[in-house]
Formats: sequence, C-alpha cells, structure tokens
Amino acid sequence: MNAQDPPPERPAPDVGVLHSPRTEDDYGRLRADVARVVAHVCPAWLASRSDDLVQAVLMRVVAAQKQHEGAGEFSTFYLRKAAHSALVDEIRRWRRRQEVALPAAAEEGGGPVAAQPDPERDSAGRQLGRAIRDCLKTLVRPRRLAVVLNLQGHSVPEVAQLLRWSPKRAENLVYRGLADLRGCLERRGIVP
Amino acid sequence: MTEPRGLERLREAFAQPEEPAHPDRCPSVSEIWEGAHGRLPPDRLRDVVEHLASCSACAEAWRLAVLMERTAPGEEAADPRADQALAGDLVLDRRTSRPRWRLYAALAAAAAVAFAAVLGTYELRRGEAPAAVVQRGGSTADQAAATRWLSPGEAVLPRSNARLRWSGVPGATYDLTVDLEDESGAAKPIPIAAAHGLAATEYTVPVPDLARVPAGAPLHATLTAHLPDGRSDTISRDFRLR
Repeated sequence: MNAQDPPPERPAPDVGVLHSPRTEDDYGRLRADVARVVAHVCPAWLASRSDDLVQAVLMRVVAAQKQHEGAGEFSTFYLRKAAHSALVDEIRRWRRRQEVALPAAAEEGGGPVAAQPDPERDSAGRQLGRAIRDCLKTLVRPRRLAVVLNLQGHSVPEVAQLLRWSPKRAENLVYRGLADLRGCLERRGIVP
Repeated sequence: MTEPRGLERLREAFAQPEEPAHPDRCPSVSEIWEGAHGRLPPDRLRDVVEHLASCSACAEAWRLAVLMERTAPGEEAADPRADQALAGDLVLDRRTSRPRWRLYAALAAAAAVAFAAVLGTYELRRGEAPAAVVQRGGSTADQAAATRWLSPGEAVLPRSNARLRWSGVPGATYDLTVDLEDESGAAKPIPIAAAHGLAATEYTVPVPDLARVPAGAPLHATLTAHLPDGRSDTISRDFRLR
C-alpha cells in the first residue's frame, strides 16, 4: 500500500457478525435451548431420535466455529448456512434410514402404526401435493415462479423482492397463478 | 391483504415429501441457501425456483433456509453480543429493505431456530407416516420421466420453423397448446395454436398462427401426453420467436 493512501476503511460486513460462544456455559446454554425447543415440538414418533438430530447438527456447528477460532469473530451468516446444510443433510439421511428400517418395524407391529394414525388424510395430502406439482407445470413461467414462492410461504412483497419484480407485478402473478392452479386442480376434480 | 382461500391447505400439500424426479438436476444445498437469501443472480435464482416446483426435497431445503431466518418466540437477542450481530444485519438489510433484523440474532437463537424449523416441519406432519414409507412403491418419478422436452427451455425459434420436440413412451398421443403470455401477468394468455391427438413427438407451429406474435414475445407451450396405460402427463416449455 502506498504511504499516501488513506487508511483502509473497515470493510462493511455483508453478513452479521457475532462472537462465538467460548465457554462451556455458552455451549450448555445453547444445548439447553435446543433441547427445550425439541421437547416442545418433537412429535412422538421422532422423540427417540431427536437427540441424535440435535447432536449431529450441533457438532457440525461447533466444527464450523472451530474453523474460525483465532479470528475473534466470525460470520453468523456462515454459521447459519453451515447449520442449514447440516439440517438438510441430516433430514435426508434420516429419511433414507427410515426407508430401510421402518418397514421391518411395521412387520413387528412397531413404530409406523403409531406414526400413521390417519392414512386416509395422509394419502389425500400426498395426492394433492402431486396434483399441485403437475398443475404447476401447466402455468406460464412467471406465474409458476410466483406461485412456487408463495406456496413456499413467501408473502407477495417477498416474492417481489426475490424475483426483482414490482410489487404490483408480483401481486398479479401470484393471484393469477393461484387462480390458474385452482382451475387446474378443479378440472382434475380436486377442490383444496 | 387477506390470503386466498385454502392457501394453507395448498402449502401443506405442496410440502408433502416425494422422491425427487431428477435428483441429478438438484441445485446444491448451498445454492438453495443463497437463493433463499436473494444472493443468486436473477437467472439462476429463477432456475432454482423453477426446480422447486417439481422437487419437494429442494423445496423443503428452501423452506428450512427461510425458517432459519426467524427467531423463535422469546429467544430474540437478549445477549449484548446479539446487538452486535444486529448492527451487521442492518447493513445487509439496506439492500433488501426488509425487516430482517432477526436474521442474524445470537448463535444460540439461530441454532435453536434451526432445530425448531426442522422439528416444526416434523410437527406439521405429526402423526404422518415417515416419508420414505409413504413414498415406497410410488411411480411419480417414472411418470415425470415419461415425457420430456427435447427443445431447450427459453429457446428462440425461427418464425418459419417454430418446431417443438419432445420424447415420450411408445404409443402415447399428445395434445399441444401454445399461448402468448403477458409477462406482467395482468392479462390472460392468448391462445395461438393447438393440436390434439398427435402421434409424432414434434410439432411445428404453423406460420399463419404466429402472424400476430411479435418477435421476442414470450410463448408458452403446454404438452399433455396420454400414456398407453391411461395416465396422462403434462409438461410445459417457454420459448420465443425471432
């Protein structure tokens, strides 16, 4: 750097910055928080495995933290991304495990019976889900993009921001797309 | 603005897990995360969103990424360190103008939210059979693979030879419609051409049918395959004219 150059400005963070938990108390608190949440929301069929899920994700988050040790601070965006990746991996792995393990359990009269209290409703939901995916294929692309994001839980303003549309355009596309979707479903004899 | 009727039911059904029809086409989890945070180039973002329409696994990953933005009740930044995170967030939020200060709350809250997100998903499915069990024996992937476009997406075709090509199972017949889209979404699509009972796996849109279509205008083709076993499969493709 040239001596006349002004001192470099501290770069504006493009992500949140947070000091890592450094003490056992921090980790203990973190784990307690997680356990509390799990205990609150965990369905019965998952109860015996929820600890494993929590632990697996925590370990990956901790590993991500350790990679940043010595830096003093690290990006929470990165950590959240790492946690998200771990969650997705774990969920997919669990599903694969269930695919192998649960049929055997069913033969023994085990878990799946309790896990499937309303097969008719489940079946209807899956059927509707498939029909939605089929019908989405028939929508014009802008409407399809808008509807997919809306079905994913995004509000109209969020759809506009993500797809860089005007709010009015996003609103039009979401609502016309949903109308198309319903029309398609109704033509298939499905009224959600 | 009130939500349309039955939207929650649609969302719940859309979230039902299915085996991906084309797992080799799935974007990476990292890319999904970036997309959910609006950090992908627009074209790529649209491709990823397009993929979500047909892939429940990636759609779930996207929802998890979004849910991780939200702080569980009572777990908002009480720790002074979280305020520091918050300060960083406000810089980021200027770009999106969104009230996303919750995005970067304290690590503990973030991790807890992550678990809440996952387990909240499970909670939505409380009492439902594990996904792999209910999917066993399904033929959705086969169906999806039965009919495929050979014409590339967003193709720009010559007006004099606007040929659409696809592949399908032997013995299938096809209905094809082509509509002119209004990109703003404000107007209904205008039917341009339609052909029914096609046995061939290609169709050239007649030049006269395209007379009123301006160059570059977005066209949308919808192809319904009537399969020999009685099922039908519908796919669509966007294209433009030179």
